[in-house]
Amino acid sequence: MPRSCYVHIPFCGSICYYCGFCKRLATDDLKTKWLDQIKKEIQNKTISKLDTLYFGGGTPNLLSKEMFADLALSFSGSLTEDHEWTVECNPEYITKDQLQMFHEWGVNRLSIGVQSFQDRLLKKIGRPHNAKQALEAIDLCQKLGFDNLSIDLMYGLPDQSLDDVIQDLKIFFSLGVDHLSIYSLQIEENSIFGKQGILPCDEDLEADMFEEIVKLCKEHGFEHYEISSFTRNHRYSKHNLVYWTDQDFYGIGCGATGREKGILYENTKDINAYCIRGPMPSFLSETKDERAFDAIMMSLRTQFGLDVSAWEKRYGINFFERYQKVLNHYLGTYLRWENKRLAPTEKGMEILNTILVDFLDEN
Amino acid sequence: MDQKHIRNFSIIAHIDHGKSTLADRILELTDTVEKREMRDQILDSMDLERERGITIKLNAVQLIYHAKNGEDYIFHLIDTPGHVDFSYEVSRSLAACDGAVLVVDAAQGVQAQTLANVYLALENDLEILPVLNKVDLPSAQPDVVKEEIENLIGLDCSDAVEISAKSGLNVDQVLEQIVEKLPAPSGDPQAPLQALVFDSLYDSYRGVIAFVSVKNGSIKPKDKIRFMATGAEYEVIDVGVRTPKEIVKDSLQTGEVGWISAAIKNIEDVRVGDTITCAGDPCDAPLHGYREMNPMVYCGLYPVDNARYEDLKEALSKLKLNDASLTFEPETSQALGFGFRCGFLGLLHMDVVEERLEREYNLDLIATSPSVIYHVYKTDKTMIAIDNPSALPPAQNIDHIEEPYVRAEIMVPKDYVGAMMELCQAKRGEYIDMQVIDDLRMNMVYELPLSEIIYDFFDKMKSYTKGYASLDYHFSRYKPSALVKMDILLNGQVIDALSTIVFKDFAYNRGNAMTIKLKKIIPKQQFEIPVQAAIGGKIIARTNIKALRKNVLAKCYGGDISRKKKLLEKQKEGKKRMKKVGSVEIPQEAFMAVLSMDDE
Repeated sequence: MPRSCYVHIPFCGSICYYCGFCKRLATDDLKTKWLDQIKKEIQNKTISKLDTLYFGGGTPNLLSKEMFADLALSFSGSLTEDHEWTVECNPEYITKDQLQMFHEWGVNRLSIGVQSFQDRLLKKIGRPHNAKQALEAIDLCQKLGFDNLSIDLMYGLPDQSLDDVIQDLKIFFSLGVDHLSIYSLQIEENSIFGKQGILPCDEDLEADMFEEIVKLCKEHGFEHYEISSFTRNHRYSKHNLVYWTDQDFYGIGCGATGREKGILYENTKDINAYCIRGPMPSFLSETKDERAFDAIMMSLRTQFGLDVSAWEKRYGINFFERYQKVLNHYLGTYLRWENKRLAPTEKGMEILNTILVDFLDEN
Repeated sequence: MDQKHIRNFSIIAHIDHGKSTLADRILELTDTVEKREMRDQILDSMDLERERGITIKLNAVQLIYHAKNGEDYIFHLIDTPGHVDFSYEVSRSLAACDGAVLVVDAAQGVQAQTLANVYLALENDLEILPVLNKVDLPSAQPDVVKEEIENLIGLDCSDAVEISAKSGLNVDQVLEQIVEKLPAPSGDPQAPLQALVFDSLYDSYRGVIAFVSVKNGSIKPKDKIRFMATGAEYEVIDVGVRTPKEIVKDSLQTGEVGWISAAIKNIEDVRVGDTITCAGDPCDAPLHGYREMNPMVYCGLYPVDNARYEDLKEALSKLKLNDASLTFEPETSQALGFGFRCGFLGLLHMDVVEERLEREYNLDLIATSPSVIYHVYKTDKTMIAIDNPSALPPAQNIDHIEEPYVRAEIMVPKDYVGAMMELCQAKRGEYIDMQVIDDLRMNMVYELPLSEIIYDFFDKMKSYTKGYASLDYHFSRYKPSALVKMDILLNGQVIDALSTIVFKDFAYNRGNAMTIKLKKIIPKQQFEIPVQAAIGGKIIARTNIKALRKNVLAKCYGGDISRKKKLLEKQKEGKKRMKKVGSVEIPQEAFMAVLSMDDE
């Protein structure tokens, strides 16, 4: 039984230009139907024990107090004593009331979608909040006792300079927050940027930004524990580590993805269909070899890397025999051994795609 | 049916003048193909032909025509390609015929390939029936074009039918004229068998199928036949015709055009142009075949996966059955391993062969940039002919080099004569002659290096004349030229497959263009790659492909697994089409880069 669960809340108050996720500007009527359906879905899963629960979106903190309570009730009793329950939040909807309610239900980690501390850039990417709102929201969270916070920032945005990125990081470091997720802008085909034909950031500038981010974070005592995740005081995202360490997780709600018994599935993205007929998951049919590769692909994103002997046991493949050529090529500069785990170096994280294609070639 | 009621003919025309459409209409009018099976370009059975809207291969079909005089006639219709590269196909099909229907676009008039095909037909002593197509176009000027045909070709056009192959207008009259004006085959049914092999293909169940035109005698199953050039003998299993469906018949009689199956497993035994006779009662001499076409353009073809060398060899052998003008010889390249140096009639031919090998034989290939045959006169007074730039001897051993020139005839509207002259001069052309065709058009004659024609002459001509010019060319002679070998170095290493021979004065520009083009095509790798062009060790152009620094997809949640993997799979597919040379991964298209660069 999976010990983790992802819940997708597909509603937003406005649509950001870069977003390719499943989301809707929704009416109350639709939300009510959706809530009935997702409660059924949770019941059908017969979830027993959860170490991590993650509400992502969309904009989970857009749900009304009543709706959130209704949804949270479905999980009461499933969460373990030292669980991690994360809710993604947009700063403009964060209120004292909301935070108190989160606290009462057991939410103990908030991931705040800041993206940038510069109003000029926020406007450019269609975020409805400004920097001041974000700073106030973070302050409020801290005042109400949320000490496990994560901030989302972005780089490689249109019109963003290396200096802009450094400024954002400086502000971040001044906040006393322990976790940072920092993503480079991907132009998603089905996003507004994608439809406008916005060009991706110059490769060299993006690499400069990334290297600067890694350097500054390390200087400030942050571990670079996954390609786009940094933390200090060991405040890893336990939930995300589930994805990166080849473990199962429930996927609940319209547009969610899950993995049970090693098999990935994706629920329907059509919210109207979801409200009528439920999640209708489509299962990704993968061979054992393909799943073995997925595990490598995800594990090599983190500094902990791949537990090779556990992998060999699980998939019945001789790792060294199969990947001798790739290892010979990359070990040293791009890949390293640590405690019998194969992990990427900083350089390896930067060109992970190239390395993974070579792994894929040997399958 | 007796011989008098047989008509064997080809349809010849300049490209896009409507040959295949006329063939479609004829098949419909004679009920050869049922309406529900009919589709456009029905004789163009290759996917490639249909996609590109061109005919590459000749195609022979038999049909029955109920003439207005109440009698039935057997027609053997052979559709032919119109592009200059495939004139060999045309000459082969003409050898199997007694007459030709010449289709001329009533709006465009006589074009370079119209003339070229007419000359081929005249060489074969064929009766020519002129037809004006597309008379329903607003810009059609049938009377002007008729006059043009009479003046340029000397054909009487007083009875020429004005048709629209598209709508079917007056196509019935063409059929009547075929009966009235084209001759019946003249062979002797009692004489020993003489059948001309004009095409062949390989069928994995039945072996080689030979397409023949029976000139004398007849042939039936169980006959013992001999291929006169190779001496190979076989027992006939089946004979038949195509309508275009394959139909088995009791025999093929004098004047008929059809196929022979004889469990021929050895591809080399069947040569297009050979004569088949009866082993027991042979004829005295083979038929006058036809002029061998010599390839004009050469390139190396290599399997991306070296292990598939044998597969490529087999595929080339099979393709050659069906494409007699293709030649190939094994060669090796330091960069690419084992492959073949292949000869083609032109660039389109090369392109088509490569694509057919990839599609029909499921091969991933690397084609090197095309080259002509150079005559290299060495200081020791010997001459060597080279078709691969990397085989050029060191400069100090060369006295001089000669390259092939062609006589090019370019028909062009008067307004573009200036532009065309400029182009011809830029391409090292030598003016020979210019004739007035009519009030609007001129025929320019230039002697041009073949290497310039294959480089980008067609494309340039199109853009210089808005597509109004047409070109035909034939080899004329070898002439001395100031030529040098330009090498390309990647990461300091000469890549032999990227070497080209260029005119000395063009070398600097081409070297520059080539390095820039390669920089665009070759993806960034884990280290910086200098790209250099050099002549005899001297670097003339240089650029760098910067090292790859970052390519990771930053965001990767659980739900991204399948999406991310798709991205990697796509990259893997791209990598498959790359060749690792030394430490550098080079995409296939890099080897053809020289053809698609802009050096102006």
